[in-house]
Amino acid sequence: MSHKTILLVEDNPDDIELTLRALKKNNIVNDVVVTHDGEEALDYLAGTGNYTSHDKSDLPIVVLLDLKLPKIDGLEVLRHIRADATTRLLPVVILTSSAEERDLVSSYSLGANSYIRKPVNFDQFIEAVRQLGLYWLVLNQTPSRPA
Amino acid sequence: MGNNAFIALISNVALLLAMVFIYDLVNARPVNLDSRWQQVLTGIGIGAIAMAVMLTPWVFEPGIIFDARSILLGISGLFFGVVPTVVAMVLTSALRFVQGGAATVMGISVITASGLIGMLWRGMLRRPLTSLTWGNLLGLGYTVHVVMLILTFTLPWQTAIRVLSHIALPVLTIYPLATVALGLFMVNRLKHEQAARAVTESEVQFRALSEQAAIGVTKTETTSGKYVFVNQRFANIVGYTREELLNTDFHALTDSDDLKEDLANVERLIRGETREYSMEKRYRRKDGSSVWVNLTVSPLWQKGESPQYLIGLVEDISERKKAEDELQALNKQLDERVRRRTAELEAANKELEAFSYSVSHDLRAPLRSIDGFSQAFLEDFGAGIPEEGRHDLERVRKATQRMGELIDDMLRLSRVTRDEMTIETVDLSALASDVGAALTRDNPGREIGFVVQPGLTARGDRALLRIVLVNLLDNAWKFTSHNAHATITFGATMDPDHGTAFFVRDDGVGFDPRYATKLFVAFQRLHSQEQFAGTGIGLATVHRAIRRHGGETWAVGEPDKGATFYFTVPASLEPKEENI
Repeated sequence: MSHKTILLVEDNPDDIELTLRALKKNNIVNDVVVTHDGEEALDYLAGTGNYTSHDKSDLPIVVLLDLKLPKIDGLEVLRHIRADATTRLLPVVILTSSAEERDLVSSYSLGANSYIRKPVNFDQFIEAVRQLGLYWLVLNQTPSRPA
Repeated sequence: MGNNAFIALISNVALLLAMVFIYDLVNARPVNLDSRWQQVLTGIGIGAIAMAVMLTPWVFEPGIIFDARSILLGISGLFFGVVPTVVAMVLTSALRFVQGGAATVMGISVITASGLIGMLWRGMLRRPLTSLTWGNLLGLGYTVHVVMLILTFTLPWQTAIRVLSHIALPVLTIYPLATVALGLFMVNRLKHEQAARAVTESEVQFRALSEQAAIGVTKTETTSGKYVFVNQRFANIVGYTREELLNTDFHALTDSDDLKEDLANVERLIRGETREYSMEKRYRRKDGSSVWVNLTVSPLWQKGESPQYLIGLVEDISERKKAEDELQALNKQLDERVRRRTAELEAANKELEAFSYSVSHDLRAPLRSIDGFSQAFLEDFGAGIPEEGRHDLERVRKATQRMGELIDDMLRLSRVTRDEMTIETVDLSALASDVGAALTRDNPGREIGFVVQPGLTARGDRALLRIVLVNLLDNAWKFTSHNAHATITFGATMDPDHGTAFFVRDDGVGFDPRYATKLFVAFQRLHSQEQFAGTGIGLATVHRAIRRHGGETWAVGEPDKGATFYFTVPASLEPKEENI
C-alpha cells in the first residue's frame, strides 16, 4: 500500500513544496508525482506525452487536484478522469484556495470524492493533510480493478 | 212624433260632429291655448259651431227647440276651460235670446248649465285630460242632460210635462252617447298633439344639442355615405364648411388606411349584427393634414327596415393620440435605459464576481506561502534563531493569518450583496434558537441565558436572514465574554418610526452611543483587537443583508450597560437591490 503513488496536480511551486512538507511531516512516505497543469496530469494518467513510460494501469491511490490550473483547469481534469473507464473510480480530492459555493457544487457534481480548502494557517494545513492521508491512504478501501 | 224626435236629434248631433271635424281640419291649432287672444278666438269658433247647430233644431213647437248645443258646451267646458266656453256661452245665449219664444229662459239656462257643468268637471278632474275614459265622459253626458231635462220645468207645468214625455227618452239616449263620441274625439286629438309636441321637442333638443356639442355630429345616408347633416363642430374638426360637407360623403373624407374597417363596420350595422360601433380613425382634413377621431355610429332605425340614415358622433382625439404616442416613445426610451442599466449592472456584478474569485484564490496563496515558510523556517532553523527572532516570525505569521481572515470576511460581505435572493416566510425564532444552540455547543464553559421570543416570522431570504442572526448573536456572545453570567435576548418590538423591529439584546460591555453610526460600517471597530477579536465585518454584513430586504438597522447602547441591535424586514415583496 505504501508503494502506491499520490498524484499532486498543482501549479504554484510554493504550494507544492508546502504540500510535500506537510506530507512528510505527517510521515506519509508514498511516492508523490507532481504535475504542474491539467494537461500534464491527464498525460500522466493516460501514459501519453512526457509520460509514455508510465503504465496507465498503475493508478495513483489518490489525486490531489487544484482547481485553478494552467491549460486545462481542475474541473476539466476531473471531468476527463470520470469520463475515462480506467480512471473513473479513482479517488479525487479537490485541494484549493477557493471557498466559492459554485466551485464546491461543480466539483461534487462532477464526482469529486472530497473538497478541502487550503487554510492560510500552516499548522491547520498540516493537520488537514494528516487527516487526508489517514483517510485516503489508510482507511479508505478502493476496488482493486475498475468495474 | 217620437221617431221624428229621434231622427231630428240624431241629425242635429251629426251636424255638430261634422262641424267639429271640419273646424278641426281647418283649424290645426292645439287644444292647449296659451294666450288670452287665442282663447277668445277659440271661444268664437265654438260659439259659431254651436250657433250653426242651433239654426237647424228640432222644433217641438214654435219657441220650444232642441239641439246639440248642450253637448258642445259641456265638452268645451271640460276641454277648453273658462274663457273659450264663456265666450261661446255668451254667443249662443244671444242667439237664443234673439230666437225668442216660450223656451227662451229654458234655452239660456241650459246653455249656462251645460257650460258650467263642463267647467266644473274640468275643475274636479284630478287626472290629465288624455286619460279620460268613455265612462267618465258618459257621466258628464248624463249629468248635463239630466240637468237640461230638469230645466224643462222653467216652462209652464203642463208644457213641461208634455215636452218631457216627448223628449226625455231621445235626449237621454242620444245626447250622452254623442258627448262620449265628441269627448273621445277630443281625447284623441290631445294625445296626437302631445305626441307631435314630443317629436318637435326632441327635434329641437337634438338640434340644440348637436349645434352646441363639443363633439362632431353627422347624419349620413346609409347607402351613399352622403352627409345630410353635420354640425359646426364636425366641420371644424375636418376643416371644411358645412355646405362643402353636404356635397360629399364620408368615404372621401376617411383616411384610406381606415376606410376598409369603417365600411366593414357599416356592413355589420346594416345586417343588424350590432347596434352601434365605435372606432378610432383618421379623417383627411381639407388642408391635407390628418386628424385622429373616435367615431361612434348608430343607425337611425325605422321599424322593420334597414336603416336609411346613420348618426355619427365624432370626437377629436388627436391630443390624446399625441400624448399616447409620446408616452409610448418615452416608455420605449425608459425600457431601453433600464435594459442598458441592467446590462451594465450585470456586467459589473460579473466583474465583481471574477474579482472576488481571484481574491479568494490568488490573494490567499501568497499568504499561505508566507505563513508556511515562516513555520518551515522556525522548524528547520529554530535552534539557531534567538528568542527575539522567533517572536518576530510569530508576529509575521499572526499578521498573515489575520489577513487571511480579513479576506475571508470581505468575500463573505461581498457574497451577501451578490447572492440571489429567494423570498419565503422564515421562522426567525426557530433560526435564532438554532444559532444560539450552535454557539453554546461550539463555545462550552460559558453561562449564557438565551431568551428567544417565540413565533417571530419575516418574509425574506432564509440564507441572508441566517447570516444576520449569526452575526448579531455572535456579536452578543463576544461582547458578553467578560461577564460571568450573560443574557442574550432575541425578540420583536413595535417601533414608532419603523413598525415591527426585531432585536438582539445583550448585557455585555455596550458601546459609546457617540459611535453608534460607525457600527455598521465595514472594518470599523470600537474595541481593540486585544479586548475583542474580530475584523469589523459582521455588522456591515448584517447591514447589507437587511438593506437588501429594504429594511433598516440601528443600535442602542451605553458603555457597560449592554447593547441592543435592531433590524426591520418590511413585508414588501420586492427587495431593494442595493448598488455595491
